[in-house]
Amino acid sequence: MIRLIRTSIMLLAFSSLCSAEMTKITDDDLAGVIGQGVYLSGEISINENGGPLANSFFGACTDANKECGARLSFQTQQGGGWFVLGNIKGTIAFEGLTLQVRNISSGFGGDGALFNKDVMEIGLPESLRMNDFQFTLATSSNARPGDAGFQQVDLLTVEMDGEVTLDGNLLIFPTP
Amino acid sequence: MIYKRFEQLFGVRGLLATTCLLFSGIAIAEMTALEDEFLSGVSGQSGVTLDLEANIELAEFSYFEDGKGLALQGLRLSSAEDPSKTADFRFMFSILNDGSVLHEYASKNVARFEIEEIRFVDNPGITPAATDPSIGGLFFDFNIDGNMVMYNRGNSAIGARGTLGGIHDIDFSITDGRLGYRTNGNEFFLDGLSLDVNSMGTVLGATPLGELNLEMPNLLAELKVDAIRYSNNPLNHGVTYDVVSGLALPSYGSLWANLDANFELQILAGGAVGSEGMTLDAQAIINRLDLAWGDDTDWAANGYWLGALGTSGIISLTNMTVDILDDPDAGSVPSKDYGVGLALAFERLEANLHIQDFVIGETKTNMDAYVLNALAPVKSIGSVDINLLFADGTYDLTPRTNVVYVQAGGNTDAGYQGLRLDTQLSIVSPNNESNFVYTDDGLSLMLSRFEAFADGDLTVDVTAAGNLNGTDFYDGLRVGFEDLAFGYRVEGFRASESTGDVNDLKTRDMQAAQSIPGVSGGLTGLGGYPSLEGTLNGQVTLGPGGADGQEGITINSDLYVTDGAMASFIQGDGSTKGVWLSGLNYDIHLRDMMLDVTDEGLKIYEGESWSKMDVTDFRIGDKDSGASFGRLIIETYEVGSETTISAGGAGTVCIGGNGIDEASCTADNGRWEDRGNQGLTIATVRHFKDKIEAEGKRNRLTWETNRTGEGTASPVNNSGMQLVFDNFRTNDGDGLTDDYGLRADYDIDISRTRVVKKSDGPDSNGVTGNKGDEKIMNADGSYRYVAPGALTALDIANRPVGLAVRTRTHFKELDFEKVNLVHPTGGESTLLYGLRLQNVDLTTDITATPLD
Amino acid sequence: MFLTAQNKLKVITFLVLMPFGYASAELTSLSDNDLSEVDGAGIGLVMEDFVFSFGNDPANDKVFKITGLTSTSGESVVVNVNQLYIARSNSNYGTTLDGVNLGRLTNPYEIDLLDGDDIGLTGEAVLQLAAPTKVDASVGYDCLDTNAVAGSGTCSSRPSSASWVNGERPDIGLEMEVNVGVEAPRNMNINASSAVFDGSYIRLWGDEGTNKMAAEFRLNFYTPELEISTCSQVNQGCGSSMKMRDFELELALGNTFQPLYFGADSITGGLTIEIAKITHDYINNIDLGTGLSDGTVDGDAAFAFFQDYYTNPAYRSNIAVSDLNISGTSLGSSKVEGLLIQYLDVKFRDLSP
Repeated sequence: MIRLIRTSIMLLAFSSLCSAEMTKITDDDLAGVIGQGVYLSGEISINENGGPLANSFFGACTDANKECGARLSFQTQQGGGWFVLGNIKGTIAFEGLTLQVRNISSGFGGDGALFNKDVMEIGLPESLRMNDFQFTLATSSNARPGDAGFQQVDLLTVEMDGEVTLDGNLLIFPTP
Repeated sequence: MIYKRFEQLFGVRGLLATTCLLFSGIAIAEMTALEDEFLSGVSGQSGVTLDLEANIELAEFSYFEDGKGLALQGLRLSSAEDPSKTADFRFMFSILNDGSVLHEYASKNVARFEIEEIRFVDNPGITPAATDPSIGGLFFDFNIDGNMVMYNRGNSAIGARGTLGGIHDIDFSITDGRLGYRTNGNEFFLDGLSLDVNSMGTVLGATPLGELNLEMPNLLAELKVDAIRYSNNPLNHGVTYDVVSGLALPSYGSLWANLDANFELQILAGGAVGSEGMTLDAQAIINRLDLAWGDDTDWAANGYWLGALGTSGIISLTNMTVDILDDPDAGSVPSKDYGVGLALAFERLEANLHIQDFVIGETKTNMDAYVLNALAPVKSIGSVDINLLFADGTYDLTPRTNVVYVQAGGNTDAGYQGLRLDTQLSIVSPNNESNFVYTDDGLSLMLSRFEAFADGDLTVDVTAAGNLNGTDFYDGLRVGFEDLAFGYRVEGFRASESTGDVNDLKTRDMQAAQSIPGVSGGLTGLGGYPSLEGTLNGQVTLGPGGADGQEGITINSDLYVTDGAMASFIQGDGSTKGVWLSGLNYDIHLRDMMLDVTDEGLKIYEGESWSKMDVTDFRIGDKDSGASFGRLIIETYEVGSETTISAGGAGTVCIGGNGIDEASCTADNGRWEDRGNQGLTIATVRHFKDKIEAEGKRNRLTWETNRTGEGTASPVNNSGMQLVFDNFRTNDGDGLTDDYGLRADYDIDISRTRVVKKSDGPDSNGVTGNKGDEKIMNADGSYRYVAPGALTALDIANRPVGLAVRTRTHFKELDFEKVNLVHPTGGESTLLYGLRLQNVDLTTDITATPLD
Repeated sequence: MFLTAQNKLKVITFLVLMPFGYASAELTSLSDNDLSEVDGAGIGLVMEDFVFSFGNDPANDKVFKITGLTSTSGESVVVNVNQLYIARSNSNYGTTLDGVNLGRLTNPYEIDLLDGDDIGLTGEAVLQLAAPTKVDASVGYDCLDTNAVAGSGTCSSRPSSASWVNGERPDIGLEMEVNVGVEAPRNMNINASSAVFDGSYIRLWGDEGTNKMAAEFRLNFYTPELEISTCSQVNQGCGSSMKMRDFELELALGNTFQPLYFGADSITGGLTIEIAKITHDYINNIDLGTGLSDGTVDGDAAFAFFQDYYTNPAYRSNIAVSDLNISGTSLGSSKVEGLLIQYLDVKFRDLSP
């Protein structure tokens, strides 16, 4: 259960955009949305053609013996091993990611009137497509693959490709 | 009233007679035989030839108004090469067949006109103390050859203003010129200067309104400067080669300006204060201006230039008053009283300039071809429009005005000479008169409704490296800032197809103003944000020489912004709500930052730079009262970072798919875009270095919140909890070398993109459509929604225009030494003992359009 | 102790089946952990009208799979995620996707920096990632009831109702197809309706004594129905399922005295999770026979400490189910209450060298 939630939270963190096929609630409930922010569309691609490193571990994507994705690792104990988010690569294309500062003073089942403040609203994209997006969760003994005695224990690898159904807004605001 | 007092300090041979032109009053005439060629062009009734050999010195020439004076001291006209020798001229006067007077003049050697000191005085003729503050010295070397024709046309009024006076045709060339500024033994001068001026039909006279009127309806001028040089050897006095070492003095590069304009100036007696002074009005219609800076160039196919080509526009100045007044801080803030100055106050200055092509890294040969034929290819980022209205106004409820006091002394530690400008500026935009427009391949982005102000002192000195009176100085032209309060903002961005008329853009849909990756920040980390304000102190010193070749610019700078606020995002709804970094204290230090223009563009090499940005409150919403996320501190320390700015932009891209051409891109579900060949490309390589604690240089990100007084107007810094990402550095994946660094390549274009409606019904502008429909623009700037199945090829060609930024960030390894949590009393403890990012190549390609 | 894919799945089912041995008719909600909220300052996050759904669907060019796992016999395991969804409650196993809110403007998901002085970690700054906090019973909502009204319980996330259609209680589901080697694929689905996580958090700080990152983890998970089934993707409501009604999980891993340390082994690279033994500076002043203080001031302090440790419900974990129904047969309610983890040491390592 813990892993389920952790996985879903992490997937949420990495996947972003999809076209929603369902109708959502009308604009009436999104009261207070008057403002001219920006509408963003485009793509984010990570290590589509590999990365700049070339050594015993990292290499070209065409080389089956080498890893070509990006790698993030962190160490939680002094002298300890490393948590790894590795072999991150792929493309996420999206349309309709919106950004604006929004004043909320109504809606939200009554919360809006009590809140009555500005928030940064990030509108999730209208359509989000993953293109061979993948990453691996692992733990390793050293930070740099290629170091002597390097060992890595892969936990799992996630691969995503295709249109993601995503809808809604992320509201970010300071909490006093 | 104008006083003229001549004091005879050095033997002046000859008599002083008239008061008009300086050198015609004093002549040492020697009789020489006239050669026939000089006489051949003379026809008509009579001709006079005058040879003048002049070596004149004047101790003081001053202008007084209402009891205060501007004194030019130590004036001299002599040979440029040897001040003890004479400046030789030949003048010829003749009357042409139609009765007009032809005045021809030619130098026989290179003359130097020099002013040793420019001071402000209360009484004329009093010997100044050697260390009395002075603006410094000016000198002008010239070898002039030209003529002037004064028309014989009677006394009728001339032109629309009804001027009574004369019409003249002026045509001259100056070669072997130098124009220099000296302070405290250091010089900054234009060397190898040539200036060609042609002004047919010049009108000079007085209007019925009592104005002195100068009109130049056909002004053509070309300026060429071989080298802009610097010297810190006091023994050098306007020479190309150092008198001690014999080497050529270091140079910033070459300068070229080409002008075709219509210029008018009216001068009325009476200033702003008192009964005396002057009031000026000027209007310039620029038909064409080309202005460029060249680096290591031979003025042909070698060496590369940065230039604003094909500029046209209007500059109009209304009611600029000239007075000599006390410092405005006199009596109220004595510490900022720098004495009497020349007060230039103006009611209105309007500038509307259109730069047709801004080129980076182009040869003179290609630029010349472009001047002749606008279709000749050049490496251009596109067109830039600058529209500014300087007028009285208010900025955030504080009234602002325009007045500059030109004062003497400059930076006080640098020496007694130097220029100080006590400046107040106000740029207003009640009806979007002030704005900036960038046009890339026919698509424009307007930074709409620009407003700005400045209030404080600027100093200009030519300085030499060293420490004087406790202040560090560097070689070069130093611009100092002393308690300069400033602020600027734009209301939003407007993007649209260009109609050729910038005013059409003012009615287009507005989107949020945002900081533009790669552009915002610029060289000093300050420019290019939607809004920035604060108090600026510090200096920027521009020294000669670059990293590439012999010429270039070297920058050493220390800038401090205090009590500031910066917006990285401003809603485009007219409010100034956005994302604000308020309570901003920012300092940045640049050492040996070198600029060169190369084939690849403008190359900037940063010797060493470090900065600290301390944001007291990172706010959402209003600048002062928006809710705060807490404090943010960003510290950087880099050595050997490089930036290359060039024209080009992203070119062709495939969004959301993989493909090298349109067919393969669409086959892979992608969208093919051709962003043209204009546009801006900025390639950076940054090397983040290990910290040097003792010098306060480090790379660190800190977030602090839960402070005492958090959420109020006065939180106490360092009383809260901090999350710190400490000591991040780049390396090549081995922890040892750092050749690759962190590379970020930005391609900035204005481009069309696909915008899809996110919900059914009317949008915020009342335009109706269904979820999934595409937004398509109409010719007048309005838009409609079209169902995907009903799109035509014409519709696709009219997709909305937005700001397209393609960023590629790639690095081998970015290593954070630690992630710490810091408690105000308990101190620091480590959360993560290491954090590393490796082998990253991240490309984002995002186009921003208005949110409807 | 090493866990393979098969074993990892077994652990989850074991945890769930454990209450089998403890039958009880009690259905009252369990202890209210951490009602006293600690005021941190930081970043609030709320999802408005949120829908997420993605799944493996080769017919529509969609791939969503989890690989890199191996079975005990060394065969590779590929898990195709048929659907992972988060949507408004009453989604019918993720087929009807409407927007749900996550967190409330007045009680959002938060990333905060806390003052350790307020939570028993003197002199430490603490990074906290938290779900909406629990609130006073006079204003909160019952954590399980889908028709709850204000004042019925301690959860602040509200169910979907006629007046507030979105609600803050999502349906969450993970529907998987597990392929082990060349064996036939097996379906494994976990669907929770009207899920609530109020009161969950993870607190992280640096433990200077041990030079490790320390954590305190609280997971509260309430759902009126948690279903685990082997139904095929198109037939989600099929009979071969285990439904747990009124599922409540309150898990406490680590606290300020016994932090949870997780790290990786510097030699094998394997994941390590540990909770140190509880101890006290003056533990030696406790008489081991009677368990009482030896009479000294130090002993009294140690006794008070352990007394609090053993009686305070904040350190204990609970799982409760009001009705366990397997393929239509009800097995009644079960509860594990008051589970106190006094020591934990888990190390993962690769099976194949």
